[in-house]
Amino acid sequence: MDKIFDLELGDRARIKEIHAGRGLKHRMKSFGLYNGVEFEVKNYSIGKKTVELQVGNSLVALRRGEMEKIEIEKI
Amino acid sequence: MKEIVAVLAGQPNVGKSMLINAVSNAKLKVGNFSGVTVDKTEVEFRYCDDKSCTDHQIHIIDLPGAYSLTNYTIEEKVTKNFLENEKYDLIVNVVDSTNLERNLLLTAELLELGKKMIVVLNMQDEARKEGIEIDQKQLSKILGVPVVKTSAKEEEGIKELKEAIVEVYNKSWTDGKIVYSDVIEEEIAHIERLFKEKKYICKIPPRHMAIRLLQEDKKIFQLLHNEPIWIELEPIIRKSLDHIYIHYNTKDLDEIFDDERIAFARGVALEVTTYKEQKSLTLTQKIDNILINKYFGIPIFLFLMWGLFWLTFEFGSIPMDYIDMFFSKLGEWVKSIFGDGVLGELIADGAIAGVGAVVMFLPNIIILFLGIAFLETTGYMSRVAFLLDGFFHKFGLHGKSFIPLVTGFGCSVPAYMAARTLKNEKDRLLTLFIIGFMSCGARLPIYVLFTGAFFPANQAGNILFLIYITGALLGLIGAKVLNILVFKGEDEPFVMEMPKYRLPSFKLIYHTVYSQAKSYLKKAGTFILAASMLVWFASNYPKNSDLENSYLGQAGKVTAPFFEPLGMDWKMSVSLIAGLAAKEVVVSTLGVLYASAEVDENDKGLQEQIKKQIPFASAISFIVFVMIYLPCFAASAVFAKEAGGWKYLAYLFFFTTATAWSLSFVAYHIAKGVYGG
Repeated sequence: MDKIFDLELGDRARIKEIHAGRGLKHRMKSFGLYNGVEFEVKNYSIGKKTVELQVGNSLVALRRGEMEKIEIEKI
Repeated sequence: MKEIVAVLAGQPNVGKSMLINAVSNAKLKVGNFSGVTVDKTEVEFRYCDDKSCTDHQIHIIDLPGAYSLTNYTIEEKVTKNFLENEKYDLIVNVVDSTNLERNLLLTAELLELGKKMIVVLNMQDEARKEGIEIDQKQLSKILGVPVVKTSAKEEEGIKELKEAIVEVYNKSWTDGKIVYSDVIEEEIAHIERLFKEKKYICKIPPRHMAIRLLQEDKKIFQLLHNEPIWIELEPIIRKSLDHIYIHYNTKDLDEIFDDERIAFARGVALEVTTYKEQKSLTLTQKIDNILINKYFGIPIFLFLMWGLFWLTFEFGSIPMDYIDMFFSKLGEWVKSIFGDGVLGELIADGAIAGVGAVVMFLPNIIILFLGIAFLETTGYMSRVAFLLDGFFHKFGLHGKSFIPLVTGFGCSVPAYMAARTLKNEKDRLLTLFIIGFMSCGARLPIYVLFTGAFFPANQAGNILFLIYITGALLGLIGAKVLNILVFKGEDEPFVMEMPKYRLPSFKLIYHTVYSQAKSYLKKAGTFILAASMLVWFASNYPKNSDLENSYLGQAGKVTAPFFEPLGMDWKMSVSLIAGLAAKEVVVSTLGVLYASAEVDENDKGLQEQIKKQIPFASAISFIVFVMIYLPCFAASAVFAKEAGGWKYLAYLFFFTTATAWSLSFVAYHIAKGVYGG
């Protein structure tokens, strides 16, 4: 099962499934992160603790804990 | 004259504050929403409608930015509660034109409220630059509400917005609607049909009522439960819901309607947006590649912070001296008028000296908040959180906690105020509770006095550094302990927007800094006025008594048993108690009690006296206590305001006192064991 932190800078991927509770899932959706959405990895902090993704026309940051909950497929 | 109340709602970073500035010509009223420390910005202005020549008084309330109508952050909770429970005439939904799809998710939720609404496509200037064109008429047709294009920055479309507010207000209904999938639309139609057949009349439109019934809205269920229509309505709702559950293969209505809104927003955005050109790399991405680069990001950030604090505490100290001089002269002048009697001393030594001590920090606060406002409005603050979250999260803190914590090394007052940048309540409280561990500038004279007295001159600098570092480490450990024991529960997820870099608006920065400075003077100033008069009274009464026999001296003797296990005598305990008013007072109190003269921290006589009269182990214990215990009155008052109540100050008092006592006790006995009494 691929995770966001498996990707390198500039890689593009699609969200397959978000394995999170209702609250976090809703939060992610309100930031444009939901099943089927494509994104690009823009930046990682040291140790891949946080990631910056481009989703549509916006940039969204996630912590590693949140990256764990998102199943992706590389495009 | 008609009065219109409009609320401004939108996601964060869509330019709402700039829009409200443009609409009102910057005549803002800034306050708080009741019960929370969330800023409430309001404007009121008169507008003459050209068509009917009627004067309107338009009152606009700027609601906090919300990604959706949930209770996720304080801001979102405030917005949701206001929109659902307060009285207003219409919603002005501000949307970022460069990010339509995501913004329409909130628009869809707002449309479900069934209120009159206008959609404002803001940031048209940026959309033009990015080659994004939105079909305004088509969007208005789909949403059923007027759509106005604006650029708050360029002050475009402001007149059209005011006209639309009056026009929508004068309508007696709203055509605003969100179109769901066929399955849901079919069920809405079934329920609507029953309302029409039974000629059921209610303030809420039938379509809106049907949607809320399908969302199992408790309020609507309660409203209809005792109505005669309920007998026929209930089986239809059950059947409709069953149909929906089967179709979506889940009974989670929140998820079903979330997905419906997403589909709606995607569909609408696709239909009305045209991209004229696609840039390969935007300016924001180019800047991000440098500012949050894995290797350069943190050094650049540290340099920027160093610059900000240098400006705050070095540049800010220039007017500080003049302010100090002004209040000293004012005190002397007051004494020359009222004489050296009780009234003269109370006003000069109590009120003026106390207020002066607060006003003195105003230049620091203005510079610091100018810097913070600049970092926030440019979009850099989110990058700070991105860079530092990995390290701070280990201690239960958020990346943004860094700013208030480092500010705490200068002065706790602006540090507590800087914690406002943390939007999550748990993160903010945790940060507020440990700011005091970062030794503020006012504690420096105490450290200089004691290190000078007890350590060789060539080691004093290292000892000072050790004191500061130890304080910061204790703060981080304290955060971890509080996170485990008090602020329990799962960590707040870190899903954060990285806004586009934007040049800050001078008007916006001015208003932010002005309101922060005003709030500081008003709250801390009034409190410190009362507190400093109280301290003056306690140290001067009973009349004709020296400090030892004053109320403050008596308090020191009463509390002496508390400090005795820490190796401290009553003089040291009086100094610590006096330090609750202001840490600067600790040195002057020690001077009076040990040297019986007016002294400062570099006074060799006092250092000699302290070295002679205070054992080394007691001195270590004293330094540890000073490092941790409650900050000054002004800072404590600001803490209570920022944390959300005086009960939090009581918790802070208990937490810092217990920690200070325990660690001083340990430090005293270790020092005594190693170096002797």
